Amino acid sequence: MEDRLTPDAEAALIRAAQQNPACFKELYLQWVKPVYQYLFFRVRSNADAEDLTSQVFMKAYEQLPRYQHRGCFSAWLFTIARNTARDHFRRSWRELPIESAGEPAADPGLLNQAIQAEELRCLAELLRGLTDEEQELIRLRYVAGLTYREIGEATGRSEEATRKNISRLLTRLSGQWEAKHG
Amino acid sequence: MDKNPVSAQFEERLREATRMPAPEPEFVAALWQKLEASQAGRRARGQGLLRAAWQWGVGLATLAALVGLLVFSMKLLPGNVQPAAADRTPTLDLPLVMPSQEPSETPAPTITPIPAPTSIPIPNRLVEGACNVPVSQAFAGLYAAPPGEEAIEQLAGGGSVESGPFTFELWLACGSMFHRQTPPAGHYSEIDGLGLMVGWRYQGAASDKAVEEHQGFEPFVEASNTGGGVLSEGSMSFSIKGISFPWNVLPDFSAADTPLRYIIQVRAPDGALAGAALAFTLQRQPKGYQLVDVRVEPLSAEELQRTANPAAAQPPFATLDPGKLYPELKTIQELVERYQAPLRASPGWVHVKTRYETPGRADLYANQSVWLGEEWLQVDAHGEVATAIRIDRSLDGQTLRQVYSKDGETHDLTDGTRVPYTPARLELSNAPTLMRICQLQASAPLGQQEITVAGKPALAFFFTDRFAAAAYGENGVDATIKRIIVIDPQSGAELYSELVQITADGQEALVWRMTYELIERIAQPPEDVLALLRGH
Repeated sequence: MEDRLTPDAEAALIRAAQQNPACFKELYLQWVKPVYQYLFFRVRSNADAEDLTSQVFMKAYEQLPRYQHRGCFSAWLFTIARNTARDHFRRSWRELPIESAGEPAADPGLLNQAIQAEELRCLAELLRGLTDEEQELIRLRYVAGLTYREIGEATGRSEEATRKNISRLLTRLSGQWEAKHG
Repeated sequence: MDKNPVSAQFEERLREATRMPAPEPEFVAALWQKLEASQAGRRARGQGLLRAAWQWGVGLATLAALVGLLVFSMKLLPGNVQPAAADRTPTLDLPLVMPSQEPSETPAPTITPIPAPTSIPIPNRLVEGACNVPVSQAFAGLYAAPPGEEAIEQLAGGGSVESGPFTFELWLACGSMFHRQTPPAGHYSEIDGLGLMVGWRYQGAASDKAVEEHQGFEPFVEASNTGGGVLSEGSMSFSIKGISFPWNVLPDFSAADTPLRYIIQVRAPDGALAGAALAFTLQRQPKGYQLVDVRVEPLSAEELQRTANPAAAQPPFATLDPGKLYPELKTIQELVERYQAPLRASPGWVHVKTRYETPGRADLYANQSVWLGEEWLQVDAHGEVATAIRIDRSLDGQTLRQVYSKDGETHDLTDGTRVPYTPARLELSNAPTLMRICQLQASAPLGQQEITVAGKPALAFFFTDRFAAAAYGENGVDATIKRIIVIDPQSGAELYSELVQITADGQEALVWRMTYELIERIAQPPEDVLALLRGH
């Protein structure tokens, strides 16, 4: 994602936006892309991702005056995003599994692209074996680009516990992946 | 820098595998325009939000006051700079039962539990899939859990309806905060995972007069709010609560499919009545309850005029008999009823002296881990306490607090606060609390043992419960709590109650003890005590 605001700048922006909704635009522009990408990853549909992204920011925009900033605006925003995605799946009963990840967008005609595509397919297979909770950690870390602290806040864990969980998860995945491609 | 023993190549592949397209610039711009456009509507609702916040504040303040009042009714209230009232009080020739044990610093006897576990197989949850409505559909999606509280996860039906100058919203809410565990966590609910999100929006003329509000499941509709403050068009109020009834009503929803109807009735500042009902049926299924026939409807003119008498109401559904769930409870109930029946039988005054101990802590009064409470309770023809005067004193006679309840209001003369007061049945025992807790924790053991108190036989009943760390635990560890009630088997009088915390290594520590030192019928309180009712 784009360069982050400093914590002080973000806090100031939130205070300003709570006073003057026009100031919400900075926050919106900061986070619309990661939120959209996170939701796109879950629904794999541009139309659905746009619809859900709209819902997330409408809710955030409405609730901002009541939001109490404790240093993790993104955790609050992604909590809304996660809940919105859950509501969507409850309604539609369809969620593309994470196994779809890694489908190469480029033409795999060239050898290296074919190899890369095969690697990605293998990785997708490994990701498919993760629990939903583990997949969510991957989504928040690599799709949304959140920090460990932000993921921890959004999922109700400490920063350290989140760091360890992701570290263990990557170690396991990496070992499995390198056994095939190392 | 993150320290993962993961190759850079792998992490790069992972990033590629999870790389998603960016949103279209047109979409980003259009969404911002949509957000800006919503601002006008948001401004219009701003007053409503303020009103909602104010209602929350009033609710919390009231709760705090009621908790304080409850503590009073359970324990305290003595002392003024007056001599002990019992010495000056004319005594009637009525049964006066006095606990025979010596109230002193004598440690209570050690009780060895004799577990008698009983399991009550009551299906108590919603079936899977019962909740499938996004919470965003209620109250214009403005609901957000207060900081530190769990959020409502889904709704199970409901809706809005207009009545008078109000739009009522009544929803069945789903979430793990609704459960049958004891407070402080979550909302008490007879059905795990099911609660209510109810409230109103106001579209009438602005007013600075109070809105009177009654809520509850039929027929237990009671005053729930008499909040004042500025009421303007767009003001709103909503609250979240579990499926709950008066403490002595223990529903047995497993006996039959049960239709329920939750009522909100409001009197607008101009006197106009408005109201709505949320009706639904709890349908029994093998794995829990399904919610069927859910509908929201305005109250009829006749219903709006109806004045309920919750105290005399009979539940329209099957109820459980605590005595059947726990034979020991029946024993307790019979004993305490035998003792209290003469005290409730006719109008008059009851004088009560109680000793409170909270070893090692001075939570209620600074530097006072032991204090004495004295109460004068005027019982009416229904056995209810119509007027009460309570005084707390320290052991050296210093007045700690003076409170009286009269004419529908409790007035704390010490801090000047006033809260509503509803006359309640005279109750000089913690047995109902124990019964309720047993009912809540239906699979936990209730024990009974014969012990000796001050050389005389007594019956001890004890119940062991586990609480999450947030309730009683220390250092994040769950705690085991034992509640003990000791009763005189001859008179039925409660001698004392205790709450004991059991640490992880098995050590028992007294949290509080409440000892009845005197209970007697009297002609009337001393003049200087009665003078408190006149504000002197």
